Amino acid sequence: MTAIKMPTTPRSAYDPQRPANALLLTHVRELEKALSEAGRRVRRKKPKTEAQVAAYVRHLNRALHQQVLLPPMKRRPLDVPLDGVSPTPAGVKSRHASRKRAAAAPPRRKRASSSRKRKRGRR
Amino acid sequence: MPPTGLDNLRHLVVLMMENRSFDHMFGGLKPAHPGIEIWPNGYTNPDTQGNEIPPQPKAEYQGQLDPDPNHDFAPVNEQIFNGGPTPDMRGFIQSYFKQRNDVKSSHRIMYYFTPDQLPVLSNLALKYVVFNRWFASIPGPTLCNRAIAHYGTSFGHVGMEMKYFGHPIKSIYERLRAAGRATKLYYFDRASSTLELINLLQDQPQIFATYEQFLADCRAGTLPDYAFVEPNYSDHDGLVASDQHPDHHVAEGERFIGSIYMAIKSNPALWPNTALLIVYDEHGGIFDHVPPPSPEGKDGDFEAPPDKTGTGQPFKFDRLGVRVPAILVSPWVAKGRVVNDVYEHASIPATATEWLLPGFGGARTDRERKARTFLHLLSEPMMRTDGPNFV
Repeated sequence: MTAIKMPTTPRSAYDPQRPANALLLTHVRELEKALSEAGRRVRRKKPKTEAQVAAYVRHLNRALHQQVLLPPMKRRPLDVPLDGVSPTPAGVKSRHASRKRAAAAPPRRKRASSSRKRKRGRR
Repeated sequence: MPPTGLDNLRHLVVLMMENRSFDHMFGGLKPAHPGIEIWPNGYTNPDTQGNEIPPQPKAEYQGQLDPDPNHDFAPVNEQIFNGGPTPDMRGFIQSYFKQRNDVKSSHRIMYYFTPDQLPVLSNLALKYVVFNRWFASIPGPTLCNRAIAHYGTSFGHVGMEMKYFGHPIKSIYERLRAAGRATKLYYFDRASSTLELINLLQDQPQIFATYEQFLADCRAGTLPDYAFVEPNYSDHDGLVASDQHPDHHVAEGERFIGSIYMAIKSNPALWPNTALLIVYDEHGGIFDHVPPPSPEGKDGDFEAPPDKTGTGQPFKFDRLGVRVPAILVSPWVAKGRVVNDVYEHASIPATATEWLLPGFGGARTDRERKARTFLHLLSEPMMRTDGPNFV
């Protein structure tokens, strides 16, 4: 039998900045509620675009799975940035770690570290 | 006597897409498939300037239905009744006009696709079984309709409520798991997720899997007895949404449908004993000419109050939603068959329950008990080998 060609999807079809539709926003709202009722606070800006919703849903989904599968564990509030890269728990840990490192490090190393930070800030 | 398709059946897969009506997707198929029921001559919808607008073959994959046509309960009521006492299916343009106040763009709600635009859906319709009268279960949005596909009821909801905890009526997944049957709900990925996660994760975390796992299960021949597949609901991580929800690109949905079909068909050990139902959750505010009938059975004692319907009237779940595309795929169904009986999403748990849990005594709505089932359509005495392949 001859194979039938499926239509191609043009690159222009991809628009992660498209405003999220009502279905996606409802999904977010209900996932947030479920997570909050499971004892985990959620704090973040409301997502507006499809990419933001997707990034957020990924986190909510994972958190909800963890909450259900590992319910006795205590966890921090879920704090998700709009670009989808979670600073929690990694971000929190790194802040703590850098403070400890700063206390233990010799002055020269500390200066080098802040200079790197300033450089990053200018970019 | 050779075994029939039903004797061979081991897996039932349901793929539920988003927000497209029957006439919109199948409107161009009539010349190739005379049994398909599209609008009669003279069917039109009036616009706000009094012009009568007929269906037109001008649908495009993307860009025409933005904003997303309203399909909450009250607007759907308007689409069906057009302000009158009888359901004449002439209110689609008027309803869409309210969203942009633009006469020209309101006409787009009457556009339909031609078969060459939808090679996957059209060829599956031509080669397998088309349901001429599969209706959304509720004249409302996604979630209440999807709930009926999972539970046989929406628990009194006509909107976007998602939680159904504490009811004696269990989802088809819970019923099957309790009976030792294998079942999975495959969602696209974690960023797309599934709309049923909240209800079922607590007790049934093992039922969830992703699209990648579906493909792997097809390759390995390890599909569960009953599988429900959800498309990708959003553009993310370089992936285009495949749910066909306006204004997502319809071609990507075609590709997704094609991939599900080919994943099953490509495994010669799986294809003979798997049935695939492709159906849409609701019409998404897009035109269709068939007035929705009543469901066969009563939906418990549920009644949606006026503040939930938005019409000023309660709703007793005594009318179905707008007609949607539905195709049953199996090498055991008759080529090009059309079914004219009334089906709705309660037919999905009804079918899975009848087939996998015969004599099931658990709680179910009268609606689900009386909903028509569809596996008797696997009636060909010999397995067909003429199914299309998609690349």
